[in-house]
Amino acid sequence: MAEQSPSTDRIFAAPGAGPPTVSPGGPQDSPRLVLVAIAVVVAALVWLVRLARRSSELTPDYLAEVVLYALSAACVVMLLALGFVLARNLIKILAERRRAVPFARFRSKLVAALLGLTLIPSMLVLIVGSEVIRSSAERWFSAPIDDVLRSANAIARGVYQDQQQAAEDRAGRLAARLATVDLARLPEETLRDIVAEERAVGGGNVVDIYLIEIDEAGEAATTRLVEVADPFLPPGYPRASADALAASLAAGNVESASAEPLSDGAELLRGAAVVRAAGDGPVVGVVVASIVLSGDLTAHARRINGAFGTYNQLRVLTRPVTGVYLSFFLMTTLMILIAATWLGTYVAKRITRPVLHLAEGARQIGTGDLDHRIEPESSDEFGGMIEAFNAMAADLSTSQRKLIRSRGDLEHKTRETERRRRYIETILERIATGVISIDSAGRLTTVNAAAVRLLSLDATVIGEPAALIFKRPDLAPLDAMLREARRGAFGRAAREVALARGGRECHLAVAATTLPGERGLDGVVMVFDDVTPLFRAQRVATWRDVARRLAHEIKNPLTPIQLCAERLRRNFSTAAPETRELVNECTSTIIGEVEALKGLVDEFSHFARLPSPRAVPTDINFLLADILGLYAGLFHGITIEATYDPGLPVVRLDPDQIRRVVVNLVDNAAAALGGDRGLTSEPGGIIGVATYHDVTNHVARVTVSDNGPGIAEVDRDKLFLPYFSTKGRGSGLGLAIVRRIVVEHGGSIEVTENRPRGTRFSIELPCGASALDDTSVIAPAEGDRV
Amino acid sequence: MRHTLSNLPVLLVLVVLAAVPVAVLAQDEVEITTLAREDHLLVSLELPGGYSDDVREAVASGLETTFNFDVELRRAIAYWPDETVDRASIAASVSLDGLTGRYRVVRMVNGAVVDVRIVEEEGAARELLTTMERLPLFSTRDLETNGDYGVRVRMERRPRTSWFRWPWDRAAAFGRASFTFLP
Repeated sequence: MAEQSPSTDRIFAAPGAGPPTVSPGGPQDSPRLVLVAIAVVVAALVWLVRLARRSSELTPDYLAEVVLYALSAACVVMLLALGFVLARNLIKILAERRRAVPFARFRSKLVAALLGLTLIPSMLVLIVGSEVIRSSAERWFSAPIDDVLRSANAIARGVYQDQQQAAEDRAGRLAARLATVDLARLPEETLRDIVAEERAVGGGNVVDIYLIEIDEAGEAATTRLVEVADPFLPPGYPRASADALAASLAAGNVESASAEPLSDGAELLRGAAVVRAAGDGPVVGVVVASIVLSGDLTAHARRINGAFGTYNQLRVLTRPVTGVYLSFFLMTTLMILIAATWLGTYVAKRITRPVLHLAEGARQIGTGDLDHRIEPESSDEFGGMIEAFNAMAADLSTSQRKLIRSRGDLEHKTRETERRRRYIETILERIATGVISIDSAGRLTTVNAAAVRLLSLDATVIGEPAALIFKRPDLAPLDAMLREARRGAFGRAAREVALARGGRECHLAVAATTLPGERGLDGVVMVFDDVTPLFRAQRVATWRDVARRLAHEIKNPLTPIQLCAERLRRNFSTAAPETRELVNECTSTIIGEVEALKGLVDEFSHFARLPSPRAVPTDINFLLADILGLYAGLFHGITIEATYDPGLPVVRLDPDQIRRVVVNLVDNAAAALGGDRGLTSEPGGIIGVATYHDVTNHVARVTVSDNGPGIAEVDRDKLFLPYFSTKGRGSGLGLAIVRRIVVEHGGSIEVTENRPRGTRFSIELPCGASALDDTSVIAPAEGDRV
Repeated sequence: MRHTLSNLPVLLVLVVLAAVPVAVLAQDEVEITTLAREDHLLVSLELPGGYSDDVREAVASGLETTFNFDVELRRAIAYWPDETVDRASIAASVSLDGLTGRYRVVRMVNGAVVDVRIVEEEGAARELLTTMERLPLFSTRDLETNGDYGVRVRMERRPRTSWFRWPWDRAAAFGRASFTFLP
């Protein structure tokens, strides 16, 4: 009868046991339980019918006491059950309507309709049936029947009481007769004769005469003196009642009659009377006279009396007996109402529950629970709808799993793409090659750090039009390449471009590649490689080759020239003084110039034949201190300030070649300060020598600076070229050799302005484990050797 | 379900209230007299209105009519329900023999027959049915001197003549008497 909400119907399967399903309902909806309930109701109805049919066999008292109590209790229980069911359903319906549960109104209307359809006829039947029972009960006691029974009972009672009175009368007459004799001394025969005489006159089937004696305690005791009985009396008829009656009278009681049933259905009616001495003296005896009432007469009298008694009892118990039959009706009505209420809720639930389950299932599907299933309860149209719903949910679930797998793959690919993008970005940011990409609209989309550095761009130029950025005068060649590329002049082109950077020339190898798209040009990628070091190295190599050839071609004829000049001097040693003087002067000039040319050729040869460095682990600080120690007191007015980084590690280098580098730089600094060796310069000149360990870039940096007049910016880039000198003397190969030594050690050297004045040379040499182990970086190329 | 269960007491109260009119039917009074003698408490009961017309009619019809008296000896406790010290039952039944016109009255105390009388007068039968004189129902040995006690009597009558029998039907007659025990 109880109803269960869909939410409590749900039973989720264990993990791995398949999709969760909705059970068909609570245990109260079990068909077996429903059958049992119907069987119980039917059994109760059958019991009621049988009880009603047997009610006529039951005594009114039993009906009024036992049956009525049982039925009343059952009615109360069923009334409570009905109230409970009604209240529960009412509250439930109200709550469902308040919560706007789907089909709540429909269910309430359906239950109300079924209940109303049952309640109205049931109540009508109850009212009409009750009235019929009440009127029937009134007709049980009609006047004719009442008169007949009353008269018959009066007759039977009269006959019975007449016999009783006759027995009492005989006992009284015999007692009066015995009052004249001495009962205690009268012989038994005499007494029997007196009794016989009296029986002959008045009749009597049995006569008992008792003598009363008073004992010491004052109690009266009776002793039977004689008993005279008819011979037709059944043997063994009871005498105790006569003794009891006599004793009762002897004790002073007024009860003088009794009745004793006999074995053949007859009844022995007794009457008793006391015997008083001299008529009004003390009680001395008791006479008990008994008359046998025949069995037939007794039976008829009893039957008539019993029928009248039952009739009267029924009249007395009219209300409870009527209540019994009304209870039958009431109980049946209550059972019908309870069954109707339950049936209403059951039918409403059977109708609406599949739809509710579908609604709940749709809600679950909507919340993403695609494994939600509904167990079909029937094979009808509702069952078909539920099957279709489950199929739809299964399809959705399958599609969702595929979608999840696809999303997973896509996410994986996205992550892979992102990883590759970060990888490429990292490479782009770390490589020394500059990369710029320009989209089809001509805007910069990618500018890596190397491009920013090489082109001296701002990192925020991304998104700006490339034409605007390349409008800068120094980037004009790039703008021209970009325009050519966008015009489709070439698919991929490489060109070497020289850009001016702070007065220095920067050589870039630029490659422009167009990116063809589906709708034409998607963009352009420009790649820049700083080939300035390579360019310089090529120039140095060229100069070395020239020097080697010059040395070879020039030095060979010099010796014959010198020998010829000396021979001329010797031949003309005996000539006239004017001639000899002229010859000496000319030959001296020739020999002097030849010597100068030899010195020059030797410098060239040395530059060309600079040996490969023999690197050994060297403490640069110690090496510098050793070198600077040679300058102690050498310059006047110039102070050499040395600053050593104590954390500078040991570096693999050729100490002799580095010594030459440092000496060259210090000499140049001293020359800039006007203090060549042994000369006195202007006071206040400072030459700074310092070391620094750049941990981040793994280099050891050595700087040599001066506070001299400095070098013009336009000359700085030419300082390291052979035969370039700002001093107006010398071969101009010093700094070229310095650069070559540094480069062959895997390092670099650059010159910058010293603040506030002067020039600063900065040498960077690789250090660290790799620099110590790697000897290839200082191995000169084969072609570089002269 | 929880809502319904929470309303169940209300429903029960409503049902009980609906039954109150049935329970408030007229109730006879039992007059009680107690007397302590020796080791017993003698209880006398009288039911003046007990032999009603319904009872007379039932007796006259030959139905055995029984008055069952449930007698409780209770000790009064302040601010608390009385404590039942002892309990006794008395039954008096009368049946009329329609042929002889004699009334047979049987009295029982605690299930034992103590008296059987056959009387011819209805008045005598009524007297025997409604009046109990000095019945030694309870022992006074365990009673406290100067203690406040009470005797409560509820009488049930058979046969009942009401339409229905409710579980909460009141007794047909009720009486109460208090006394201070003085040995």
